[in-house]
Amino acid sequence: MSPGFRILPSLTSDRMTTILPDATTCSACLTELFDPHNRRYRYPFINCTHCGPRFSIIEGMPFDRVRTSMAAFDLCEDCSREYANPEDRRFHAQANACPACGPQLWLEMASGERVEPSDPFVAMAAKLQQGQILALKGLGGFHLACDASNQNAVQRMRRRKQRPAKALAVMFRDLDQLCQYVQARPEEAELLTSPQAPIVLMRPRDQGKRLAEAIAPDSSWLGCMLPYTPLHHLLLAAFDGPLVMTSGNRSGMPQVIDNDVARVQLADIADLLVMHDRPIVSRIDDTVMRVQARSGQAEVLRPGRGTAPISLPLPQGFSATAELLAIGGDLKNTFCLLKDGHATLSQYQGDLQQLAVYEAAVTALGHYQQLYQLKPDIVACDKHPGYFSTQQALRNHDCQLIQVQHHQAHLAACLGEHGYPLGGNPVLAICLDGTGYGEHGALWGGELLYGGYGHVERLACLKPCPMPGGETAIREPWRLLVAQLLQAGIDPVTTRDIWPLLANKPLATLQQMIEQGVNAPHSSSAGRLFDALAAALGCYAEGISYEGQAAIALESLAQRSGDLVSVVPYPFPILEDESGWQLDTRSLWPRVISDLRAGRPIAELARAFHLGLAQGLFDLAMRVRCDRPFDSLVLSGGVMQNALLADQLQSRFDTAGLSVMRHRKVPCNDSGLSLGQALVALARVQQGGGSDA
Amino acid sequence: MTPTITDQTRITMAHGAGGRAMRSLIESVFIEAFGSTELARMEDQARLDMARLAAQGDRLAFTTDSYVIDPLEFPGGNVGTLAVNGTLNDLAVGGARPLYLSCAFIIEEGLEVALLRRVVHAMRDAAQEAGVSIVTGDTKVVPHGKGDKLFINTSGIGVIPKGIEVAASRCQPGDRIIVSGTLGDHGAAILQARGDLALDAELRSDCRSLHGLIELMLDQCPEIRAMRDATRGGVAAILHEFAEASGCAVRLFEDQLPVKPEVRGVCEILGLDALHFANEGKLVAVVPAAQADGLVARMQQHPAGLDACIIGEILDGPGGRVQVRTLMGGERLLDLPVGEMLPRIC
Ligand SMILES: [Fe+3]
Ligand SMILES: [Mg+2]
Ligand SMILES: [Zn+2]
Ligand SMILES: [Zn+2]
Repeated sequence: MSPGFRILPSLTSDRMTTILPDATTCSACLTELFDPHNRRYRYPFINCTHCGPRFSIIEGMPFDRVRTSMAAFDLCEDCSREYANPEDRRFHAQANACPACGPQLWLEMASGERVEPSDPFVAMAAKLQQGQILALKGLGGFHLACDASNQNAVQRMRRRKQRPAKALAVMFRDLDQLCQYVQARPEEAELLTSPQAPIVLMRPRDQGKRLAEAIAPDSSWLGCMLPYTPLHHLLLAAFDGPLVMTSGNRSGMPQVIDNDVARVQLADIADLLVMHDRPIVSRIDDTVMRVQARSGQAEVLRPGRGTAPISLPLPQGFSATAELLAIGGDLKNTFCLLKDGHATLSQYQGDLQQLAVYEAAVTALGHYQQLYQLKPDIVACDKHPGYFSTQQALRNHDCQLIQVQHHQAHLAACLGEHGYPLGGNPVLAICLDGTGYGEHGALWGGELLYGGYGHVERLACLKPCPMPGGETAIREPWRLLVAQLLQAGIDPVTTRDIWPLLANKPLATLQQMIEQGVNAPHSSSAGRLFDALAAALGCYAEGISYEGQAAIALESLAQRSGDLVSVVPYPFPILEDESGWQLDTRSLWPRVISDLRAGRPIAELARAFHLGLAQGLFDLAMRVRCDRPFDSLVLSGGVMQNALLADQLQSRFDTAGLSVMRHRKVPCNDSGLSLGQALVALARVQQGGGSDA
Repeated sequence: MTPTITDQTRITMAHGAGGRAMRSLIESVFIEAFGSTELARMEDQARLDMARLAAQGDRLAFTTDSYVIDPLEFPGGNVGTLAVNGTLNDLAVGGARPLYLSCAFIIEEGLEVALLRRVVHAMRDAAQEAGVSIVTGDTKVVPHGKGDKLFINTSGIGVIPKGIEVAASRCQPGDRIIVSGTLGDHGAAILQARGDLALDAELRSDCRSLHGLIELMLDQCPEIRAMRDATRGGVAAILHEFAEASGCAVRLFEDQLPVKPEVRGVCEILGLDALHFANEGKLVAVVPAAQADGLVARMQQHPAGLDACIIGEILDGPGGRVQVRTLMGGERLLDLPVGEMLPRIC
């Protein structure tokens, strides 16, 4: 056995038991990487105790080389010396490596033959220059890369990847280059250059350099990142220009992490495969974050490489001895473990209806349970009876099962990350979401919930509207427009002058489906209202190609309208009946119709809708407050990814002197559900009763 | 005075009261149509010859089902056709040869006798076509508003020939899944026939008996592992049952699923999946892979199996899972419908 394989005493116990996220190449390593006199000059796997792979290579705990995918590489004498020397930057650097003893990189053509250029990075850059596509094995998985300024290359990648429109992330050489394309606020620059090195959603510069149009056709945001591994640094140094850098996977499949799988799944997408022989143990895609305009706070939208596993201390009042597993929801799935007074949230897994994603999530869950030695006696999941995650929970665990209502979980996730104590004063949560299972077969998604972890009251919602066609209505927003018009008492036939696409639609059938209740479930979802208005303003009325596309286009339309002050918000009156309060969406439609007929710019209409909805929700919350006092508010649900709406809401409540909790470390979308499920379940168990409320 | 039953008559409470009106109804509608010697004897029970049963197999199959449908008549059949064929099919998919049926009618006061007669004639025709006798029956009349026009219950007895063993638990990895024809025709036709969805499509229920086809299938391939008729819940529900019972997984090939274009159109408008639609004359069978192609070819020669094809395969597990290889080449999990299909997309 080489000396490096002796299990040495740990530095601190903390270091041994906490699983650290992967960290971007540190400045000391970067200097060595480009120093011709250093023995790791241009070595794509350089790292030290401050940087490099951690979570993505861990097979077991504690974190020691033998229990990582580096175990196969015997440290050479030089590396061993560094590893054993307490004075060295690489003392106990578990992934320590050098060109003599560590992982190696090579290139393969899509046809399978190996190419051996004198400098692989120069060869890669040449391919990129020609508009070719690279499959690049990175830290937590493969990426697909192409020249971000080459419209043809980007379109070819989209075609091959069967991803027609969803925004692609871009990697810039450095901050200076990035600033030529996008506006970088100081908080954003700080985030980009942090050890987490996430993808940050940023605004393109008005007069800045332009990337290929096809990169983000719908969105007013551009996902930006900087090189975060030595391999990226070498590639960007060779190519120099910005690169599209998107997850390497086929449509509906999880990101590829294995060389052999890449040869099968990526060979007809990429022209050249950039491989290495350090196995990726855990698949972990890039984290996506954004800086909230109002607060300057960073917000995680997708937890992944650099941030996950996300570890949070349990708020005051929660039992530190409970062991609990929360399975999360079906889309944007994550799971969450409670143990030793901490909640640990997994990286983004994806849509569990996709079999391969489901299997990858099950594997990842098993890995976490083994790493954290979790033997839960309680399993929490969503209430939706059709969720595959719910069925998995029902099937696989002989633990106490607690089903948590979707939006209560959203609320609890936000409370939890803010450390709001169990048993604290009730808060009001505005949960704006796509569709979540409510109670008794109803679909929710535009709710005002009052309470805390253990119990909530649903005080108000958006006026429910049918979704003729169920999931099909989500994929075809024109159906939601028709449903909204009918609900507002407007015959869609009379609106063919402004919405000609309705002329060849089966309007009578849709109306009958709604009246007869044939696959037309009602939903109070805010997301669906956005879809309907997006369709009304010509954004993807016929159909969307990815989840949220119409709503994203609507937000970007509103952002384009410029002046805030001069736009008069659309009215959203408050209704009250024995079942509670509702925000009436019906008065919106005559206004939209007359504005469209008057030829008012649609960007203004989009803006009037955002402002009106924010004002309506604010008024509704203040009305509710007369009956149910609160000082703190939670803004949660996937629709809060809409920065304009969320900021508009926050500024109104700030002005009213209320304290607003927004998501930061844990996503407001369904990737945050599992944390909320865990906390609600534990609160219920502690408060007695336990199972379903 | 004996009330005469004409087609203009509507059913009244008297027709269920046990008196002369009832006798007149039974004689002029039911016995007139069914006319079996057993029924004509008008005893309280049918008396069946055991020797005749024993000669055809070593086990009795016995099943019952109630038929409640709106509308009572639809293109391709009526509630009576369903009541006969549905119960025959439940016997036949167990490998049994159907022999006898009972039928019980619960009639709401006010039903037109003409309609009742059409239903009863359809039952007679279906039974004759299938070579089974309706040997015992019952009639009840409930006051207006206490029922929905007409409910029919049928029970059936059949004999399972020696050596035939068909059970969902017998599915094995590698086996092929066969469907006897196009999916969802009945469900789509019923939605259409209700007339309130403004669908314009030419749709017919596929309602028919399957035991002729099944006899042929068992003759060609006695090793058929499992068989079900895909009624309520559609093919999707059957496959979930197979997967649960056998501890295997099921893989479907989306590009192999036979769906008529007009049914596909209805599914698209309504946002529903033909895999979840009811059928009334389609079966799903699981057979050893080596026999699958030959069996399909033989099925296609039978009128009930013209569109038979292989739609999937049995996998090693995990038990209970049903997955679909999509047109795009990926695989997705197939929902087991729990009540209404509710969107999952958030
Ligand atoms: Fe949600
Ligand atoms: Mg049945
Ligand atoms: Zn370093
Ligand atoms: Zn070395």
